[in-house]
Formats: sequence, C-alpha cells, structure tokens
Amino acid sequence: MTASPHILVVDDHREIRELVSRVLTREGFRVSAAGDGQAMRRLLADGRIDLVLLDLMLPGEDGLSLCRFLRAETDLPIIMITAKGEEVDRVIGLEMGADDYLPKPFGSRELVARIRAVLRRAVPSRGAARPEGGSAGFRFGAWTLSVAARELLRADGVVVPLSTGEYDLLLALLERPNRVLSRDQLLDLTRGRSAAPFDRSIDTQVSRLRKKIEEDPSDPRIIKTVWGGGYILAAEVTET
Amino acid sequence: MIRLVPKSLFGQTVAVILLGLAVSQAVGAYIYNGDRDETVRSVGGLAAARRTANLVRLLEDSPPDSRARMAEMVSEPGYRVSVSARPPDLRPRGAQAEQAIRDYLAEDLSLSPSTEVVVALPGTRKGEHCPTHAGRHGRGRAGNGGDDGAGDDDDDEVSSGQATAVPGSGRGMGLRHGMRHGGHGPMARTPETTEALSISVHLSDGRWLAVSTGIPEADRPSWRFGLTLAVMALVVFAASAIAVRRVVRPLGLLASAADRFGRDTATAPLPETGPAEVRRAVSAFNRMGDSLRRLIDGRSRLLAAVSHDLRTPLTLLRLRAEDCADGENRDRMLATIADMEALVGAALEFARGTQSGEERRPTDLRALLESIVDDMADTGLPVSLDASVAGASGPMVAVVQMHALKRAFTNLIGNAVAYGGCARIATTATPGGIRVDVDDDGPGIAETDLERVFDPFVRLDESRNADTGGSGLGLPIARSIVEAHGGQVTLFNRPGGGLRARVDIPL
Repeated sequence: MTASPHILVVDDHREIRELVSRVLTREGFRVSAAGDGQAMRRLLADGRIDLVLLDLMLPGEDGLSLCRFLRAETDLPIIMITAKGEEVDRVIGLEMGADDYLPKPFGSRELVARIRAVLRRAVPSRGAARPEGGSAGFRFGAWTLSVAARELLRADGVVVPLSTGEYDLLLALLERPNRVLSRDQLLDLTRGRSAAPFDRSIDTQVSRLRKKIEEDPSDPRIIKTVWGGGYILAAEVTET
Repeated sequence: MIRLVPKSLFGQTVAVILLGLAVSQAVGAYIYNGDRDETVRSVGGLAAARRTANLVRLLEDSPPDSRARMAEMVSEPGYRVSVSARPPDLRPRGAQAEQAIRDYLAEDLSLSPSTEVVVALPGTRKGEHCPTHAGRHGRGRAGNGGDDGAGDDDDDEVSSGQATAVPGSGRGMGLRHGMRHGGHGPMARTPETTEALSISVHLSDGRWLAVSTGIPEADRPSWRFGLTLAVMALVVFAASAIAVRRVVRPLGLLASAADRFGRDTATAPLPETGPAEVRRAVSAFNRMGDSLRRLIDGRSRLLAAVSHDLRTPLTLLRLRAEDCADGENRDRMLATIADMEALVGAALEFARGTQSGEERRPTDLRALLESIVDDMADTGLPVSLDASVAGASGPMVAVVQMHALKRAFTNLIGNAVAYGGCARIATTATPGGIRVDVDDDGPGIAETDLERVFDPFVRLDESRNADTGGSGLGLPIARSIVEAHGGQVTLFNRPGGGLRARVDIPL
C-alpha cells in the first residue's frame, strides 16, 4: 500500500499517451498505457492498477462502454478524458460511473491535481463503503445532491445552484454524516477539488450554504456548529 | 381621435365587407326605387290606358247622342269618365310615363297623328289634385253656357264623381297595389301610394273624353328596407367571420411558429391546413425552416468539429510546452495556448448555441447568480452581488437551461471585470420577470458600438489591449442564450459613467 499509485492511461492517441505517462512518472506515479479496450483488459489482468485514466473516444469499444465494464467488474476509480467538454457528456460520463471528468485541453498540473483528489477520496472508502463505486447522490431533509450533475435539488424539483466551494463542502459533509469535522479537516477535504487561491474560510462557506438550504439560517438544523469542534451534518442522509 | 380602422385582418376584412354591403345596398336601393317608380307608373298607367282605349273604341262605335250617357254609366269611383265639348285643361309634366301611355293609346287606337291625346301625371297626390281639377271644369262650364246637353251631363257626372273619387280611387288603387305586392303589410295600402292620372282623347265627333283615375305610386323606402339590410349585414358578418377566421387562424399559428422558430430552430413543422394560399405560405415557411435549420446545423457542426479536433493537439502543445526548460518561452507559449483554448472553447460554445440539448428545469436564479458571483469572488475577482436586493426578495424561480444561462451571466460579468475593472450585480423583480444589471466602472463603449459588440468576433480592444484576450464571442453567446429564453440583453452607458449590461428574463 505504500508503493506509489499505479495509473492506467487508456487513450488511442500515441502522443497523448506518451506525454501523460511522462508527466505522471515525473510526479511519482507508476504508469501503464493502453491504446484500446483490449490492451486495457490485458493490463488490468496483469498488474495492480489504482486508477484508470480513460479517453471517452476510442476506436472499437468506446470509453463509455469500457467505463461501464470497469464499474461492473472492479471498484477502480475512473477519470474520464474527453475533447467534447459538454455539460451533458460530463453528466453522462459521471452517471456511467466515472469518478471525475477531465476536459481537453488540460495541463499537467490540472491532471495531477484531479488524480490526487480522486485517489484521496477513493482510499478511505475503498472496500466496504463503496462497493459499486461512488454514490450517484445523497438525500437529506428536503434536498437531493446529485454527484454526477454536481447539483442540489429541492424537493419540488427546483435546481438551486451552488458555488464550487459550497458544493465541495456539502459533499464532504454528506459523505461523513453525523461526524464532527473540524475546520482543518474540512479545508483539507475540500481543497483538493477547488484549489482556488482566494478560498474563503470554511465559516464563510458554511454560512452561505446555510442561507441556501436551511429553512431558518439563524437556527440551522442540517449543518450544525459544534462548539470548539467544527461542523456536523445532523440530518439523516440516504445514499442513492 | 380614436382609431376607426380596425388593426386586425379580421376586423379590416369584416369592415370592408360590411362597408361594401352598405354601399351596394344604398346604390341598389336608389336604382331599384327609381326604376320601379317608372315601371310601376307605366304598368299602372298602361292598365288605365288599356281601359281608356277600350272605352274610346266603344264610344266611337256608338251613336254620338248616347256617348255622354255611356260615359256616365262606365264611370265609377276611381275611374271617372266624362264627355265634354271643350278641351280639358291638362298640363303634362313631361314624364316618361305620360309619353308611354300616350304612345300606347295612339298605337292601340290606330289614331292619326293629328288626333289629340293629352296625358297628365301632375305628380301630386290625388287628394290634392282633384279639387283643382273639378274647379277648372266648373269654371269652364260657366264661361260656355251655350254648350249642348252632354255638357250638363258631363258636368253633373264630373261633380258627382268628384265627390266619391277621393276615398274611392284611393281604396281602389290601394287594393290593386296590395294585390301586386301580395303579403305586404298595412303600410302598402295607405292612400299615399296612389297618384292622379288624367287622360283626354279628342273623339271623332269633336268632343273630348276625359278620364281621371289613379295609378299606384312607388312606396317610399320603409323600415322593411332597413330590416332587409340589417339581416343581410348580419348574415354577411357571420359568413365573413367564418371565412376570415379560416384564413386568420393559420396565419396566427404561422406567426407564433415563426416566433418559436426564432428562439429554437428545433421546432416541429407546422401542419399544412387551411385555404390553398395559407397552405402555400405554411409550406413555404416549413421549407424555409428546413433550409435554415440545415444551414445552422451545418455551420454549427463545422465549427464544433474544428473546435473539437483542435482540443487534442492543444493538449499536446500544452503538455509539451510545460516540459520546456526555457522559462520565458514556456510562459509565452502557455499564454498563447491558453488564448487558443479560450477561443476554441468559445467557438464551440457559440456553435452549440442553444442546441446543447440541455433540459429546461425550474432553477433558482438568485442562487444561480450567487453561485457565479461567489465562484468568481473566491478566485479573487472584484465581483459583488447587491446585498440589499439579494436579501430583500425571495427566490426567483424560472424554467431555464441552467448551464447555458450560467455561461451567459459568466460572460457578462467576465466582460465587466476585464474591461470595466469590476462587476456589481443587482437583481430586481420586474412585472414580467426578473432583471439583472451588471455594472462596471470602466470607460464604457461608444454609443455607435453598443449594438455592434453583439456581432460575433467583433472586438473593440483589438489594437490596445492584448491581455484582456477574449474571443469576440462572449457577448454573442450571452445574447443568443438569453434570447433563447425569451429575454433580452442590452448594453448602455450609465449617466454617471461605466457600462451597464442589462438582462431581462421573463418568468
């Protein structure tokens, strides 16, 4: 487990494979590369893989069906790469079971950050918590958070858009319901996804989030403050 | 002055038809009345003439002594006859009917042209005319005392006939008239409908036969005429209403389809129904929609394909550039690549337009604006949402393409920050929807350019500012998205300085 994570890159474009492999190797990952679904299956059988970087457009069997296969056969985290970059494709990709979605063109820093974030999220829940990959969403109180669409829905179906910070915070809390999380823990859990330089304090994000989801923000029922400790998601959470 | 001309096709058509009907009725009534006047007079007069001709023949065939006696016997109320030695004092009016009766008599009796026949239609009512007539006869007799006995008989006859003529002739004519127009109301039998007719014929023995009778007179336009007009107007109104509606309804459908098409080219073709002309218009519209759709689709596919295919090489470029050891060159390359990426992204966005297939869902627009503003503020941009307004009103829910609208607002706010130094966003509820104002503190835009900047690839800063970048597609994208939601984007310079981008979205 202490060995560096092993990434499988699946892309039909040779130069992309080479460049991505070089970047990841430099960043300390072990890398294998495959040009199509067949090669991917062979490599999966051969060695222990920790994460699959999967291009959506592949000759022969396409990325979506490979993604479905990976989801069904393994619990490997998957990051989907695509040049399409449309919101609809992103949602479909995530619904197919991908853990994240990286639109082309991307840079090495972005690539590495996503891989680290997905690995970090995957490790604690590996095994028991997520036998079938990430949850599609969470239901709590009158709300539903869809992970694939990154969307908060009210009971009446109204979409209530969240900022990136609010979404990351809410997701971190929902993944660990009824556990007291300190500000440092929350900062750590959310920073991986939004590495913005002017990140607001956790307190600011919590107060914004409360305005949106609490019936009475001054008397919160969902996200409660624990004196001296941090915050706790107090509502009953169902994974969907 | 209230407008008198109806605006709608329906109103105009009905108005024109009704006006035409009224004019044609008026003209028709005028012609018909004039015509009928003559006809009725001549027909009524000819009946009297025929009777007179028979009488003349009868008198001419009888011995001269018995003529006065016979005239007396034939005389009856409504058709008074006398024979006298003196010519009658009749003044023909010169009407066509008088000529017609005289011609008839002359022809029927085969009279020589020298035979005198006088026909007079004085044009006054019988009741007024008769006393004058009698008076003249009386005066004539007084002046010619030496006339033969027939003159006395005549005079007696005339005076006695006179006494009964007024009511009698009126009734007689009335009856005839009534029969002619069988079924007409009581109005048709009033005495006003007769007119006096006097005929004098110079008999072969030198004496004059005088006939005085009444003929039907044309009745005046009555309430019946008005009723007829009203009923016809009603029928025409109903008929034209049905006819025009058949034309107007498909036109209305066409208009709203064109409207919908403007917002979303993916609308289904219209059913081709209605009259042939309308069907042709609808089918032309459908064909136009098809070719427009193909054109737009083709353009979008081309732009999307190019942009899409540029993304993989751009990724390669970027990954390679990042590997470059030369710090300055690397940074410049990366900046150029970032510009290209932005352009490709915007072009793809623009090509996709509103056809991204994104579902319209009820969305809290205030939360949407908050999330955009928070995200941008979280990355250190000087962006703020008017707190007082934001806190004042409740959620503003509209059924929208959330991601598209987010793109539109992000573009507008991004422009404000890039060109105006900051962005202050204020939301207000308007009667029809919501209004979002994005203000900046920049120099604004020349009035002449306020519309132009919405054209694709138009950039006002080409020469002066390289680092604001921009593809020239941000505003066109924002506008096409907002318009796809039935809304509007306008730019204007605020009086106090700075530019305002105003978005109105109907709820």
